[in-house]
Amino acid sequence: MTKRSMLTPFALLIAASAMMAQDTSGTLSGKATTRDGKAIAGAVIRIASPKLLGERTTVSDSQGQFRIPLLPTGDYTFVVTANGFLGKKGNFQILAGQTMGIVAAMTPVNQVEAVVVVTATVAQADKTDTVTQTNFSAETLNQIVTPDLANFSILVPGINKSLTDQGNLNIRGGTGHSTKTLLNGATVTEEGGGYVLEMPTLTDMIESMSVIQSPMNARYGNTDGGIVSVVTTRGSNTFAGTIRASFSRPFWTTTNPSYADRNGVSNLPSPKADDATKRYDITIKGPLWKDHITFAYGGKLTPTSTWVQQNQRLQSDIPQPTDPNGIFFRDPANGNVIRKTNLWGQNADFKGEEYSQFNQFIVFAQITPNHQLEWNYTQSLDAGRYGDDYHENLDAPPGNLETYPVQVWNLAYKGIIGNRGVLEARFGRTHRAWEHPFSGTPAIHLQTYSTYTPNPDGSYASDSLLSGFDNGAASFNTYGYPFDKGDSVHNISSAINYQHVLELKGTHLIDVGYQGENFQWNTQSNGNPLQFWIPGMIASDLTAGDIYNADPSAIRNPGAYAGRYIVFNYAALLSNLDPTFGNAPILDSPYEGLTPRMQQLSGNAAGYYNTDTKSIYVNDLWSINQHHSVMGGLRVDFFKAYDTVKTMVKYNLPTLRFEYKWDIKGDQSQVVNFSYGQFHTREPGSLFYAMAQGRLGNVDVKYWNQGSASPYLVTREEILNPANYGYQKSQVIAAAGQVADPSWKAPVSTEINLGFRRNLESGGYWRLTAISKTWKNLFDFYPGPVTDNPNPGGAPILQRVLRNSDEFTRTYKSVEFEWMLPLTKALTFGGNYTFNRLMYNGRGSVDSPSRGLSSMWWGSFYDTFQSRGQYMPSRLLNPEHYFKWYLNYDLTKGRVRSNLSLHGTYTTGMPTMDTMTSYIGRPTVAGYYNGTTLNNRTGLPTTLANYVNTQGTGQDIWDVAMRYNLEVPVIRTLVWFVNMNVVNPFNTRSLAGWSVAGMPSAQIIPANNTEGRPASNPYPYGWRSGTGSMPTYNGRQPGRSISFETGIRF
Amino acid sequence: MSFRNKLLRYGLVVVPVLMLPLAAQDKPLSFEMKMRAGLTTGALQKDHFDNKAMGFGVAASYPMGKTAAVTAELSFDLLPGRHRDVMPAGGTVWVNPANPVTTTGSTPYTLNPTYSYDDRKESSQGFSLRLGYTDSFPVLEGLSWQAGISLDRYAAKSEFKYTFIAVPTPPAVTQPDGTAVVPYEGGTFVAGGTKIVPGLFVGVKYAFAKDKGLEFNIRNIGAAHNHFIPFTYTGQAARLESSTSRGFVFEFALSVKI
Repeated sequence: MTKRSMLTPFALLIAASAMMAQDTSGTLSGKATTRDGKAIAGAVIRIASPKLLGERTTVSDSQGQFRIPLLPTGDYTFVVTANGFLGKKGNFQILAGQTMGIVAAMTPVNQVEAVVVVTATVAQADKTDTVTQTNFSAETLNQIVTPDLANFSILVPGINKSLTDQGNLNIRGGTGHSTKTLLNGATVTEEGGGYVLEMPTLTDMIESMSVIQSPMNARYGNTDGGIVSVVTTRGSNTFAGTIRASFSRPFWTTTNPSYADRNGVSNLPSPKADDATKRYDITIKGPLWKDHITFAYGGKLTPTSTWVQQNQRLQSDIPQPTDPNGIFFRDPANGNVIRKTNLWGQNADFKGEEYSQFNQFIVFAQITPNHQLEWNYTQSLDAGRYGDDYHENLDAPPGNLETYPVQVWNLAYKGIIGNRGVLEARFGRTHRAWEHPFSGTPAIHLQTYSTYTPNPDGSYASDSLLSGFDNGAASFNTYGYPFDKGDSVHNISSAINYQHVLELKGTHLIDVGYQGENFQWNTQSNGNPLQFWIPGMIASDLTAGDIYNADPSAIRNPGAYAGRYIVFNYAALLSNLDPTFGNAPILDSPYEGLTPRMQQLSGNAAGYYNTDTKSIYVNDLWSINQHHSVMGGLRVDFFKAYDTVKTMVKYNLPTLRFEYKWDIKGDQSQVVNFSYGQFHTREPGSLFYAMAQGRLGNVDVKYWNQGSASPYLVTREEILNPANYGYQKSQVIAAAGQVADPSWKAPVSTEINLGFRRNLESGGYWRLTAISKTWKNLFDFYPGPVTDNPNPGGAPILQRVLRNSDEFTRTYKSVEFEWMLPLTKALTFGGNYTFNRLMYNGRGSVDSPSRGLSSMWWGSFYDTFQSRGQYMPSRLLNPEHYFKWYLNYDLTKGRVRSNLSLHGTYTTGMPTMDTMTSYIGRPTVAGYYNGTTLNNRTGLPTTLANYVNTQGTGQDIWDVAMRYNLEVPVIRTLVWFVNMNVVNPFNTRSLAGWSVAGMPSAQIIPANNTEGRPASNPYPYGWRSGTGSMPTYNGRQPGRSISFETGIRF
Repeated sequence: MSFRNKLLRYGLVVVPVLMLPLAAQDKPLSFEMKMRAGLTTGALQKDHFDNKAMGFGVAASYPMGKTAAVTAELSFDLLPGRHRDVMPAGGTVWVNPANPVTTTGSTPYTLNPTYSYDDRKESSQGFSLRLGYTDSFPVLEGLSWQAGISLDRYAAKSEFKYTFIAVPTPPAVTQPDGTAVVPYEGGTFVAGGTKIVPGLFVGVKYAFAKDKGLEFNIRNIGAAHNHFIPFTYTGQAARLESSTSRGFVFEFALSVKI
């Protein structure tokens, strides 16, 4: 027998909830009326759903209104009964964070006529909703696109995929790292760099996904880019599940679409085969205790074949030393030089195989009808992602890639308190491993090679240690590791919200609450005070044939070399190196990697660093009458960045919100909204870590100072002996090198938006919104005072000061048009168009209000030719126009469900950073130049009319994808399904960068000397193509690909 | 952005709101929103090096008699463009050697094709006001024809990136210190320009649902065009010329009653 919850009429009003972005449930609201619109009081409304534990019942009030909150997402049926009227029944769908409105127009029993079922098939605009959002159910998502964040963005206006922020979405001009991604209400965006789980859940675990583009309620905060919310299933009273296998393969990858060059010759693409990828998912859900506790589990296995591409830290791009002896090392037996090598570091790719795993658990308890508790845990073990960076075991063989764990858990309570309140409380934690900040270079591969000239017998010249450098038996790989395990970061989020209903000249929904978000970066979790960074170890798998000496017949014993390290005395490096570096500090030069260094973190042993945002808010949504509602809110964010020694930054920042809605007809079918909101940007935690004065920031670095000028072999024990280190470089002490101005505050965006949404009588809707957004408190690093270096002999330190500046401007203006139109019964046409101008004139990262990356410019701060001031025009950052569309055709016949969808995007006006570069690689003023050398440059201001700016646009990007879904019932509840996708079938997608027609890609003009290539270009000016990184707009890879998924559902 | 442009841009938001109470009052005036996509031909397509055209609009219709109506539509149109290299394949070019070297008359130089390029891209966008007349086609129920005039205000964005490296024929011009002079002309800039151009349109519409229809139209439109002539090609001072590009647009449009 199912339980019922008899909420009082008054309780229904108080249970109304303004939807929280973090909300994982929805609300049903509505009205019972007569056929001519008169309210019916005392009507009984019963709703049921497989997702609901028990049945919910409520009664309409004197205005005929009713409301049922805290409903899990899913499909529902309802029945409305009232004395003297024929009953009404229908169905509706609840999506997370939304209010579904229905109107039950009932017929008196004395008027016999056909009962008309009132259904609400489209989520209606509810003036109690205080957000602008786009919300899709799992079923709709699955029909149109592969349900993941990247593809989901197709369905949402105002979204661009971030270029740099680890795949986060840019929403309405916000930065990627300031977009919050929520999983069942918990923040899964890691605060350090804005990383996010690639996909917070599995396809079959999704209940709904939504994007809140403008979170106006003061409950939302710590983001100026919007909120992406993923809500998972929580199970139900019925056991269910899926087993799914996914396969995808790019069946060929092409270069840029062919162009005819100026000679009429087409630059044809060349095909290339790529490996297939596989994935296996399983989900299972059901009751643990019927009507009380349910569970859901989702697991994923992804075999990963990884070619680890190591950072060429060493010598790949460095010209060979001019010393005729080169860099050589000696036979440990007799000290003789045994080889001469250029010590070119090569990327030594090897293939490792492992499984990435993903596990997700949800347990939901309906403690009483009015109180619920949910716990969820997600673990992502991403194999090979940061592979060797995180290795601890020096002897680990190739392929032993450690996984990269991310863990998220969240505990949430929701309940109806008394007669007027709804209380929600949540606590969650996201945790992941993080490469140690001082690990610096990832594992290096030191690989020596011959002089390229093989001997007649195929072996290489006798002055080589090893023959060849390909991945064959004659080559080897070495690994350099920090001895430290590395760090972890975690993000703790907590929230408590109380909502109260007050009847005062209308209905007030008042929210009062607190939120906390804390990011902590823990260093040296193993407490090892010393960290050694070493060059490569000679592998232990050398064979006798690998080593030669001057006499090819004399084969050296490989055991003499295996397990040892080739090291260079620090001073020797200085004298042996290319004269370009002679007598100059080799700090951060590629040669630094050849000599071991010992790092000792000083300061507090705890070694952590935090950014902390605590927020309090109050928000009032006042429903004045059937047509008008007004909302006002105040939020105060208290921000602090600190470590164990000092506080780097501390401030509090109040922000306001306001919204007005006009329901023109009073039935929520046509709603106008005007809103004004201020949003405190969340900056990544990494912005401050260089200012940490605790253990994280204080580092003493000493270099290997043993042995002669020549390189030689040492053992591991010798490496770990601190007595072998002596030279200490001038180390910039944290907080001496980079500080924050005490008045610094994070940027605040102010948004004004005017919108209109219309539900069409024939089904479907459209929405038009105009947005204007500006930022203040933009910042940069500026030159500060010069201070003495506390290290003996160290160079003076020029401070870089983090400071807000009025020099920079950032604005976002856009118009969004969104539609969903059923063209026929089976064919639906949906999509959105966004026109936007995101303009920014700062230095540094192009997608950020301002990021610390501009610190590279401070040295030339006053250089006339840097792009600043009058030479720093506003740049367009986002594509100006992007269209996203889909066509969905329902092919369902009987019990066999199927559909075919086409979806695509078209982007035009994508900005590029094409500039004319001078000899020294700096952008020049647009105009007309003649001459050859820098000295002779006679730049003429342009005399051409209608000069605008120097920023151009790239080629348009458009692509189409097809998706076909088929579900065939097998037996009882068992269903077999298959989904097929063909991506980019017409090969219209451009790859990264673009080339002028007729020119080889990425080589418009031969590189000048700043790129480290020989000075073959006598011409001083060059031109670089594009941004070098055309965004893959929706995250899909260039080239065609096909994928299909199949499995069973029960 | 000028106030006028702001008004035009945001007006598209305000107009649907204002229109609805009118429509709700059972007045004969009806409103539709339209989404269109098509292909261009003629100078327009050549100058944009692209043949796409797309747009959104809002249309009002006032009946004249049983089947006819006069219509007015305000739309925002986009004519994207593509990059292409227009550098000539050969021929003598004029290059002004570096100061203070003086020339000895018009020494012939040749463009080095490997290191020279003249990349251009032109796109247009803007508003179009169409006034037309429509009446039913007796051939098929739901089919109607329409025709009228339009006033199009499109803003061009013309991108120019060029560098011309010349190879001097002997004797090479040298600098006072004896080093060779390599003549070079280059620049990067974006030019704009807006024109108001009248146009014509004619088409048919099929109402496949009570509130939806599919149109096919042929339009003749014009847009501003910028043409840059570098010194290298002519020996004269570099200059930018503005003109109007005209062409036909063959478009489909989906109309939905608001």
